[in-house]
Amino acid sequence: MLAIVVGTQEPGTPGGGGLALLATKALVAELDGRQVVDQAVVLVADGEIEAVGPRSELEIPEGYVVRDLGPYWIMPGLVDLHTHVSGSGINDTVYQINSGLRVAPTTQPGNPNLERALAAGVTTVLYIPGSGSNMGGQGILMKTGFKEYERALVRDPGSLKIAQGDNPTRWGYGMGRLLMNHHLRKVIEQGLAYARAWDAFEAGTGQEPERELRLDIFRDLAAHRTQVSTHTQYFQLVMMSILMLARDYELDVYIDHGSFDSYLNTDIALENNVAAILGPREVMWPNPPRYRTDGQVHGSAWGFQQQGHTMIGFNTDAPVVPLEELPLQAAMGTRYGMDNTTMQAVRGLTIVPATVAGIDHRVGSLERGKDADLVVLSGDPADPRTSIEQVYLEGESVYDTAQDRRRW
Amino acid sequence: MHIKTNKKTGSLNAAALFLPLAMGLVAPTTAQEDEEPADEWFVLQGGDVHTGTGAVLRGASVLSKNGKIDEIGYDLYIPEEAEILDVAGYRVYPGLVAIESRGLFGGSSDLANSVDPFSKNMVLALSAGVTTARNGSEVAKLRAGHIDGLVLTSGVLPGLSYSKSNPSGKRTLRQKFEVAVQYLEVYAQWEIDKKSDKELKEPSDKGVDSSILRYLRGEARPVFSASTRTDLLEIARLAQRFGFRPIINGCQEGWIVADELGRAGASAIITARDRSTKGEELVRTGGSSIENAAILHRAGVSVTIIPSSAGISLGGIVGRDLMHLTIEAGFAVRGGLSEKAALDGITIEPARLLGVESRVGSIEVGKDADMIVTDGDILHYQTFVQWAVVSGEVVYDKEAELFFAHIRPRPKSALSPEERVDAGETEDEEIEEDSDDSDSSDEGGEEGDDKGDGTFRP
Amino acid sequence: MLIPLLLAWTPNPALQAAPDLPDLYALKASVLETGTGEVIEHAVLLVEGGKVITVGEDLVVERGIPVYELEPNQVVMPGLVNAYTRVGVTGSGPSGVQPWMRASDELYPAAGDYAKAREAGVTTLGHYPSGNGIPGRSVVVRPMGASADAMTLKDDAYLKVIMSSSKSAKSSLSGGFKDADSWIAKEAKNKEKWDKAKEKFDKEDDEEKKKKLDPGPYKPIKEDPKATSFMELRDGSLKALISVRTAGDYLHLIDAIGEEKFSWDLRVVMTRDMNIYHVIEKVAESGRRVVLEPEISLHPGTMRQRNLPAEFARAGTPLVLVPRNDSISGFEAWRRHVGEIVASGLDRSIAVRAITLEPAALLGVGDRVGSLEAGKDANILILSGDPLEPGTQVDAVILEGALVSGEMNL
Repeated sequence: MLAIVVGTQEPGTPGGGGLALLATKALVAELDGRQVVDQAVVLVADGEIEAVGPRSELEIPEGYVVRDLGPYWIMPGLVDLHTHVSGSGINDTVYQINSGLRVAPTTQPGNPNLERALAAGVTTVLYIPGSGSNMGGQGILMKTGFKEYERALVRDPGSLKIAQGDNPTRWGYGMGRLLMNHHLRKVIEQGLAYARAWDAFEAGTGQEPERELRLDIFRDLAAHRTQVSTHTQYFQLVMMSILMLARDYELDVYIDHGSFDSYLNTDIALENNVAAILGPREVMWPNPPRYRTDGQVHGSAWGFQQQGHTMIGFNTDAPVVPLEELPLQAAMGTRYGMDNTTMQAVRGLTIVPATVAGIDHRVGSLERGKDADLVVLSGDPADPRTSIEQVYLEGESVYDTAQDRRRW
Repeated sequence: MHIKTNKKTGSLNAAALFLPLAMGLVAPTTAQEDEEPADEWFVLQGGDVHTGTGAVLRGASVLSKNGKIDEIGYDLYIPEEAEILDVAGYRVYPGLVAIESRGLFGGSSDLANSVDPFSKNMVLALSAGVTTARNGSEVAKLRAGHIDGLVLTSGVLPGLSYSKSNPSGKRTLRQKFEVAVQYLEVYAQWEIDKKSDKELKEPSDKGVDSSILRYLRGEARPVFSASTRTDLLEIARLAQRFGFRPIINGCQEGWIVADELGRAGASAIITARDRSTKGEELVRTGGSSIENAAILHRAGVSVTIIPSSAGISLGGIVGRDLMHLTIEAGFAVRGGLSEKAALDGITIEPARLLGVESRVGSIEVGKDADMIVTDGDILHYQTFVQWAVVSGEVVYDKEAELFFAHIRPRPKSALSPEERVDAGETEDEEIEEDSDDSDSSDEGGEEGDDKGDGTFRP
Repeated sequence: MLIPLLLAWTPNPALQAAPDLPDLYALKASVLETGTGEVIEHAVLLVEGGKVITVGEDLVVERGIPVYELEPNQVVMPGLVNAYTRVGVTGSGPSGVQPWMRASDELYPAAGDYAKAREAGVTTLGHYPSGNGIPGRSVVVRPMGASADAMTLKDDAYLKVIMSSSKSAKSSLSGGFKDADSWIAKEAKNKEKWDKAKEKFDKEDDEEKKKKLDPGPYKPIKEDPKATSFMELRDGSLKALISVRTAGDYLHLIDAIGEEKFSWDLRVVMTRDMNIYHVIEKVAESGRRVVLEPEISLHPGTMRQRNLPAEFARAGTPLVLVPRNDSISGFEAWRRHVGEIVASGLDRSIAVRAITLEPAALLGVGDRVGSLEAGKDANILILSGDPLEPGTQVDAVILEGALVSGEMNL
């Protein structure tokens, strides 16, 4: 393995001088602001985005290397907040509550799944434990295109993974949702007390608590430095995710893996400021009497949007569907009813997940100061026909179909 | 906009009966002259007709008579009793052909006697544009509401196995081919000799595999399920040595040996998104490739496309089953296949492999009037089939079924959709207009570079 | 076989003497449902010898004839006719194509259920043979009588046929007619052969030789019970009741029948969400009766209720309604269930007819039972109120003129 020195001489990377990328269209994907710039230039320096604007307005500083991308578009790298394929062996089910477990040591940066995801423009993922246990452990947020763990890592803990779905119940003992929720409340209350004790100690108002690895994550959660990502799916589960985790314990939580009729919770999701990250089971087929759609096929994204939700994103739950099919989740959300006239699908793949994971200062849109994680592509990112031609990570070209075999 | 005449049931109608008689078109039969059915006319009027094998005719009409396409073009003479579906502003494509399917027909086999023509899955497959599908060894049309006129042919896609994993099977198959080739040589000689000696006995075909004779004579094509380059190469060589054209199902590593497959006259049935699970190595040549379809097509291998799941999946995950056949074709385009070839891969190419290309797979005079009407580019993910027509009859109408009617509902205005676009009323219609613009590729070039643009504007 | 034997030892209610009613008597009721759909107010019904002599509004009853004056709330209607039941018969026959089998061979007059059926107001039962395919013929019985013969109103009422979207079901039906054809052909050949022999015999003058040539009396080929049954269908002496579940089944049925002409009615097996509505118009055009349960079904994929009996009735199909559950409790709930679908849209007079005269006609006994008209059996229910209202009780049941349940006072 060649050691790669930080600060290659590539333009755009730290120490590599400035880079100007000219594109037919730049999908800026700001949360509430600019969405599209036509005939755009994207300036990159020191691995960060320096500026984005129309060529007619934005001056390219002297000494910048200019690359004209011709007919191609440029957009921020995509973000998937529910994946399991950055490594393997992530379903420890000796105990149901595993808040101390961390997926970090299982990570295999540069594995084929990540390489393919990168080739699909997916540059940042939340790699989380499986849903075999009630509380699976701590995930990490990482970049898909770096082969060294330290470079790939965006944040550890990336989240605390909770599974409220039916998966944990499969492991015997006859455990049901009642016990699962009881488990969760119990450990969360312990954990939050633990966090308060540490806060008190650090403020000089309390004794030094005994260190408990199992509960350390709650210090991050209590301080909102990380989030809870839930394997939640249909109505009842999503409701508990919101009410228990967001309302009762005031944790940062987002609906992850939202599926089926989860959108029936839109009201409480809005009340508690909980975003909806959906996929891959994002369509509910008419299934009376359990689900009364009057014969209609309901897309989860359609449902959330109909009721006024705007923070709608997508995830794959790879390998349930392959990570490279993240854009297809947005396409299907749109197909099955989500209005996409103001680029909702693109934001759902970029800035929405970046924001809810608390990494929007680094990724998710083409804004000044963010990592230059850029995707060069032939058109609408949600369209399966659109090809990804190049990917930059922090200004470094990590995938280029002019040189690499097209992986996706 | 949807005008129907009163002859829906095909019941007896004096005018319709006597008119052809008076015109001397129908010879009165002795016993059953009062049962001579009137001709059934149906018109798709004013759509952009993507014929598949031919040109794109903008604002044209397709006239069908008794379930067959009678005429395509402009200013057609429309018989007064014709049922007219005004599709101005919409696109008309040939009905899609699924080289494989599961569970669309209700019945398992012997569809003529077991089909459920009202099954939910049939409606859903029609909603995805599929009007013909293989079901086991039968090929049938999705004639919702009817149990007749549905099976096109049977005994299709006879399978053969020729794989590294079964060396003795390979040897046996080669021997069979050799025996058959020898027999054909003897037979050819006999045909020459018998001209001089009429008494000469025809050589016996005892011990000769009759299906292999059919392959060698070009009367049928065997299908191999193969994915590794080794097996594909071996099959290509077998085919070249004995002179038959193989169909290869799977063909994941076909892109590596595409030229050999092209030389062997092979056809491939491909899932564009296939991922090899074994021996996957992205940096070395091997495994699956998104470019598979494109590379094979370039090498002269005809490409048929099918999703990984050929059934209708109602588990919530969308985009990977037969209801998303066009999505799979879209992924082939992503890998470099032209949009034209991708559309062929879900229409005429599978029709050819199934031996039903004289009936379905393109919009041509004389073929079955099996067409779909869409609200946009068939390969765009947002496009819905608005109507499906099979044998000159509307068998699916998005607005009449509950499933998708609420999603971007069809405008109810008296204006045609085209006129509404001009008026700039809705965002959705703008999308239609944009997609239309990008469509120039269909007429002229191969690659649709300007695709996909149009779901949003700054 | 132990249980039926034990049952046989118990006192048989069917054999107990009915409470006395005179041979000739009149009923006076404020409301009388005739079963044809007609309702007569201030009705007078005259019964003699177990038959209805006359019925009408405010008829004058001759002096001396006992008159049973009913309470003002009480309603009179014909005894209910259940065209499709196995309550009272037990056992199960093998499935397959055996159109010669008869449910009448299963009759067990001592079955306690008959008394309960009477109490529930069911005075005519069409028993079908158990089994799938074409398992045999039904028998029409009155729920009373000491022997099978005494119970039987009509045997061979209909041939039960189960149709489905399958080759085997379709060829069971079409194959039966083919069997009939080939039997007829064989028999014709046999006859031809005999005719020739006879001709030769007749022409021969030589007595010696003639002896040798004597073909004897004509002997037809061996009867094929299956072929015979299908010939009976063709000549109209037997009719069929064909069960389907789906609209597709119906199309396959029509396909299987092909050009064959015979008399048949349709039974639609009710399921929760059914799609038979696709062919309601086609069924109506055929003019066949349809046997249904008084049940609300759901439009597939939805919670939208569909009143299929009402839809069939509106399309003009003659309707027969049978209890939802083929059990005594099903019999008891029958009128109430019919009331439910009347409340949601089925025409009331059609509904009453669908549990009385129409099933009687289906069973081929419409000239004898099913309505209160002159000349018909005096099978009469006296109810505590509107027959289709919940809570309405059967106060008394009269079977062929005799009181078989409840009480009546002069």
